[in-house]
Amino acid sequence: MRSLVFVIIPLFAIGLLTSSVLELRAYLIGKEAVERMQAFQQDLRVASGSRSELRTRRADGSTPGAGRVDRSFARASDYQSNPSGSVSGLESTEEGPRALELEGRETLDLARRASSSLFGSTSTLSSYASLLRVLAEGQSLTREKLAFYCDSLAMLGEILQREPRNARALMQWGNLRQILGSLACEKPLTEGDFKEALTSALELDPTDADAQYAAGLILRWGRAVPEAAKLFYRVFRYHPRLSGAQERQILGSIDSPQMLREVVPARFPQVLRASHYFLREPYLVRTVNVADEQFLQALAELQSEALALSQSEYGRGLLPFSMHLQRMTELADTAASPQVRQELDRQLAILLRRRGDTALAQYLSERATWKLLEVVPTTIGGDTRPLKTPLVRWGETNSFFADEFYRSIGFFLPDGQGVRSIELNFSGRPSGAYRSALHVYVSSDNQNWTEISTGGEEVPFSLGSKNLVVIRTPVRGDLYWKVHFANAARDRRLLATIASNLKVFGVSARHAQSSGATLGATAPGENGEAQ
Amino acid sequence: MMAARNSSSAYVRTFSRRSLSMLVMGAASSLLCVFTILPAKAEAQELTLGVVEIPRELNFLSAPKQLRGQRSGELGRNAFLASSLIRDAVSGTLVVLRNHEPIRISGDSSTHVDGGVGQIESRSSKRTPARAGSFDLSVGDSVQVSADQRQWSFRIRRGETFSSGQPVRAVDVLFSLKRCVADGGVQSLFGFEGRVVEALPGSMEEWVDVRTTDVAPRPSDLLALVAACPILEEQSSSLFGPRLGEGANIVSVGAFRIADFEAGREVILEQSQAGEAFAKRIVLRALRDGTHALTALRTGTVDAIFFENSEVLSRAASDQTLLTIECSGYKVVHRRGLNVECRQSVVPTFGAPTLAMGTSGSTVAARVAEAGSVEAAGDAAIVQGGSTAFGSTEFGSTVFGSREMESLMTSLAPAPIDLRRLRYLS
Repeated sequence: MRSLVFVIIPLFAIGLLTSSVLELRAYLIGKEAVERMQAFQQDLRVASGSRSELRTRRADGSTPGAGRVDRSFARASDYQSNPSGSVSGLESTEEGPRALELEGRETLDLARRASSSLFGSTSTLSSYASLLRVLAEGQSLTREKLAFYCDSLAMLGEILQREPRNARALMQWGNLRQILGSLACEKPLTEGDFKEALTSALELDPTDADAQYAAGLILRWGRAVPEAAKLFYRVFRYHPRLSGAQERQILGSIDSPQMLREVVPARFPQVLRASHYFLREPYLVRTVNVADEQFLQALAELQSEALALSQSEYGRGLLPFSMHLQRMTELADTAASPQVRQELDRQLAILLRRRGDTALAQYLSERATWKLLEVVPTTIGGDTRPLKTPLVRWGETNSFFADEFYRSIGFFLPDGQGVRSIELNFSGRPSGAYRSALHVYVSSDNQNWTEISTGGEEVPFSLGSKNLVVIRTPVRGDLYWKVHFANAARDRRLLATIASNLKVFGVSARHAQSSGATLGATAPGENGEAQ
Repeated sequence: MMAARNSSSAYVRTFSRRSLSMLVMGAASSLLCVFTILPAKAEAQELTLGVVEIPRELNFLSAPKQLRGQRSGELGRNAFLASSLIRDAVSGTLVVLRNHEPIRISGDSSTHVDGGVGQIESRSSKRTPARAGSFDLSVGDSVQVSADQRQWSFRIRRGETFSSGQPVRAVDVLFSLKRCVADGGVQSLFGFEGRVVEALPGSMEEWVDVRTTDVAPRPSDLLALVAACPILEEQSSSLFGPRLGEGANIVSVGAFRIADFEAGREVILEQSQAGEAFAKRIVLRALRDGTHALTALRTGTVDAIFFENSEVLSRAASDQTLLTIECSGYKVVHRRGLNVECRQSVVPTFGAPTLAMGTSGSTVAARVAEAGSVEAAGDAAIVQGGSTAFGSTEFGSTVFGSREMESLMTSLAPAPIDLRRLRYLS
C-alpha cells in the first residue's frame, strides 16, 4: 500500500507539473499570438481604412520612423498599394506586400497553433476569430472572403462549445451567420439561425443595452424590421449612455412612418432628438422622404403625445418650469406640423401669462394664428448701399455676425404669402443700439429697394435660452425682403446662421409642395392651409 | 575749425553711408514689391472680362422657348453671350460632354462606360471618317445601362454640394431633369425616377433612372440632354417658381455663384464651395465703347473682351501684347498670357439616320464579366471601374425626337469659352 502511495504521488506530481508547464506554454503562445494578431489587425485596418491619412502622410513627406504605429503604417502603405499581396495566398512580387504576407502567414500559423492547443484560452480563440473576420473584410475576391468568414464562424462555434453562455461570442456568431445568409460552410458549428442566436444572447443578459443595440443592428441588416424596431425602441428608451453615433444609426435605419412610431418613444428628450435629426438635418436622412405627408403626420403625433406627457408631468409638479419651457421652445423649432407649432405657441402663451410675461404671451397668442412662411433666405455683408444691392448667395449656410458693418439678412418670399412679423433669434442678447439700427427694405425686382416703416424700435423678447428680435410689419407680399443693420459698428456679439436664426410669420395661401428637404425658415407642411 | 571740419566730414560720410544704405534698401524694397506684384498677376485671384452687353435681366435659366424668343429678338447676340457665360459658370451638370464634338454612332459601334469617364465611339468597319464623343460623369459617379438601353441609371456622387453647401440629392437631380425636359417639349420621351439603394449595410446610395417611354434613344441624344441640364437645388428652385433663374435666383452645383450683379452693367461671380477654378472671382463688365474696352484691355483693367467691332479688332491685331481668337463665332481679344481655350459647339447634329441599339442581357453580362468589374449582372450591369463593352448593336430606323431635342439643345448651347478654365500661364 505504502509503495503504491510512493508511486502514485510522484506520478501525480509529475502530471501536475507537466500540465502546468503545458498550460504555461499555451498561455505564453496564446499571449504572443493575441499580441501579434492585434498588431496585425491594426496594420490591416490602417491599410484598408485610412486612405486619406496615408495620402496626407505621403504628402507631408513624413517618413515612418521608430515605433509600432509607423512600422504599421509603412507595411500598411505597401499593402495599400498592392492589396493583392495579402495573406490570402496570392503571389506578390513586391517587397512590402511580401513582408506583410509573411507576417500574416506567421501570425496565422501562430494563432492556429495557439487556438488548437488543448490549453488554449477562449480569449486566444476570440482574437483568432476576430482576425479571420478582419481578413475576410479585406478580401476583394468573394471565394476567399467567404472562406475567411466561415473560418471565423467555426472558431466562434468552438468558443461557444466551450462557453455556451458567452453572450458576446453568441452575438458575433449571429452577426456572421446573418452576413453569410443561406450560404453553407463546410465546417462544424457553423449552421443555425442567426435570430435564435441573437435571442439566446439577449436572454443571457436582458439588461445589456449595448447587446440589444448590436442585436438590433444585425436584425435590421437581416431585414427583420419588426424585431429590430422592438430592440431599437428599448435601446432608445432605456440606454443610459447612448452615443450620438448610435442614436443616428438607429434613427437612420427608420424607413417608414410605422417604423418611426415603433422605434421612437413618445416622450422627451427622444422625440426632440428624432425631430432634430429628421427636420433640421434632412440631408443626412437617406432612408425615408422626410417631406412625406404620412411620415410628418407620424412625427407630429409623437410630438403631440410627448408634449401632452410633459404638460401632465409639469401639472403634477414632477417637472420644473424651466425644463418644461425649454422642451417647448426647442420643440417649437422642429414642429412637424403647423398644428403642433400653433398648439405649442398657445400653450407657451398660457404658461407665460401665468408667470406674468404678458407682452411675450400676447405676441405668442398672435403668432399662434399665423403661418410660418416658406422663404429662401440669404445674407450679405457690407451692404453699404441697401437701396441698390441685390440679394445673392441664396441658401447661404455659413455663420456670420448679425451686428457687423452694414449686415443685411434677406429672403425671397414666394407668391401667395404675406409677412406679418420677421423674427431674428440669437443666443446672445441684442443691444438697444442693434435693434434701433435695423431697417426693413422691400423690392419687387431685387434691384430697386424701398424702405418700409415697421413702427419704431423692434421688440426684444427672451424665450428660454433664446433672445428674439421681433420686427412687425404691415401685411405685404413683396418678393424680396431685407433686414438691414444700418451701422458701421463691428460688435460681433450676435453670431447667427441664416437657416436657424431667421423666421418669417404671416398669412399664406400657398399649397404644400413635396420636397426632400427643408430650407431655412421653411416648416414642413406648414404651408398647406389657407389662413 | 579743424575739429568742426572733421566732424562735418564725418557727418557727411555718415550721411552718405546712411543715404546709400537707404537707397539700396529702397531699391531692394521696390524690386521686392515689383516681384511681389508680378507673380500676383500670374496668380490672379480675379479676372475681368468685358462684354458688349449685359442684359438688364439675366433670365439665363428660364424656359428655353422663352430664351429662344429672346435670343432672336430683344435679347440679342451680345446679351445672349453674357447670359450663356454666366449660366455655364454657375450651372453644374450630371454629365459633361468631354470633347464637345457631335456624338454620333454609325457603323459597327461599341460603347464603353465606366465609373469616371464614358466614351461612345464609332469604329466603322468601312473607310468612312469615324466621329467620336465622350463624357465625364460629373455629379454622377457611376452609370448603369439596361440591356435594351432604354434605362440609364446614374448614381449621385457622394460629397457633391450646391453652392449653398447643401448636399446634392436624387430629388434635386430629378427635379432638374424634369424641368429641362418639360421646357424642351420632349416630355413624352422620358420618364424619371429616383431611388435609394442600400448597397452595403448602412451605406445608402442614391440613383436616378432616366427611362424612355417609347423608343430607345441614341445614347448621344440622351447624354446630350443630361449634359445640357443644370442641376439645381429642388427646394429653393420650387420656391422661386417662375422667377427661377431671374437675376441671381439660382442655387446650383456650378463652379461659381453670383456674388453681385448690377443690372445692365456688371455681374460678379465668385468660386462656390463646390467649384474648382483658377480665379476666385470673375467680373463680367459691360463695355459698350470699343475704344474704352481696348484701353482697358491694354492697361490691364480687363483681361479679355468679346468684341466684333472691326476697327477694334484691327487695332487689337496690331498690338503685340494682345491676341485675337474666334470661338463659336465670337471674337475674343485677350492679353497675352491668358490661356483661353475655345469651345466647339456641343449641339449634336440631328436628322442623320438614327438607330435603336438592342443588346441582349446575357451579352451585356458576359462582356461586363470579362471586364472583371461587375457589381451586379443580369438584365443590367453596374460598372465601377475598368471598361465595359456593349456589343451586338443592331440597326434600326427609329427617329428619336430629333426636332424637340435639337431645339432644346440649341437653346441650351454652352458659352464659347469655359470660365473655369481661364488662367494665366506662368
